[in-house]
Amino acid sequence: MAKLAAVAFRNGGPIEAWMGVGKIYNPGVPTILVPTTAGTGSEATPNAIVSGSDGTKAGIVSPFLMAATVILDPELTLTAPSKVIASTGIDALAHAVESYTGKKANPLSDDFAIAAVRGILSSLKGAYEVPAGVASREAVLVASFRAGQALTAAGTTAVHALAYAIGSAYHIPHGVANGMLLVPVLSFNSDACADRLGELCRISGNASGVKSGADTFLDYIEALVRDVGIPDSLPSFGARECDISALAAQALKATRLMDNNPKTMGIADVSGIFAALL
Amino acid sequence: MYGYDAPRKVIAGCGSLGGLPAFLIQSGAKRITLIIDPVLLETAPIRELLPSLKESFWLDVQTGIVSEPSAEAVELMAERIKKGAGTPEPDVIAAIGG
Repeated sequence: MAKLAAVAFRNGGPIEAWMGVGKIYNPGVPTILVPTTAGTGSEATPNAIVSGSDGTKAGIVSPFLMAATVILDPELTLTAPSKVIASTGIDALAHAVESYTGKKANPLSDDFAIAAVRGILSSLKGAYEVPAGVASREAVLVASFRAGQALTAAGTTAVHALAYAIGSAYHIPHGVANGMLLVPVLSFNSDACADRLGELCRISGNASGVKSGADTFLDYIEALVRDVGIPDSLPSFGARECDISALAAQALKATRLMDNNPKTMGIADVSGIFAALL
Repeated sequence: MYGYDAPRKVIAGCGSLGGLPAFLIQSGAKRITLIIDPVLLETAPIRELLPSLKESFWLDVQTGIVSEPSAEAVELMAERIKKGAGTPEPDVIAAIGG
């Protein structure tokens, strides 16, 4: 909200005309961003998500949306309910893992993503279970900022593309939608990025045994998502089987994200992932 | 080729929000618009912050931080900020929330 309002001072035209990349032409009033949840990473990115007049969520990306200054004070997150800590923390995890496994991953984004994954995996459960735990909330807040830096440098992938589709259709909180789709999409992608998922397994401190590192990491993330109370099925949000083809078509419209996915995803693949959540 | 952009300054740590007035003075800002999530107004860090901001700056407070807002809501907020700040425009927009 604030990032877009700040550039609205010096740019004409309706906000919807800015949807996409590089459609804001003048810098705005400098911003100081102080997040009070740890997840969107918005304070670290040149991105803003808005819903248009038809209700569809879309991204606006411009260097003029970058904050001048960021203040990360964990005291401000202490009043956030555990449910919000869970969904926003999983959103940050998705930013980091998608940036690390996406096609645009690079040495710079890898550093940010690895730091973010470490911070989130070591502290998210603590932040969720102990609301007054300043240390764990600070670790997740800083990790969320790092994940935002990672996605600025490398972008997100199909997890976010599919999450926007169900988020818009059923008003599912963004972090919850990402949590529901993170493991299903990574499972689909795993043969295209097995070495990277294996590296994340090593970073998470999980030893792969009979299973591969990629599979062990996915099991670990699945358990984490469940442990912090993220739902795992769509019908509780009102989804029906007859909605799937429209949802899949909507997800595929997010070409900026789908093109960055490590494995090409067609309509049948996306439909299959949604169907498995029914 | 890798592209990357970043905030110019990051201040982190428990209680770091309390340093905002001093930071703003140092930056030379005089007119501040603060956008804040209304549920935060009664929290201890904000109750401590607002008087010192009011004391040192021209301050306009707008409530209504929303994550992933509608385009219409953003346009309305921009109008409210313009009306609240008048002329000249604010030197900085600080946003707490989201």
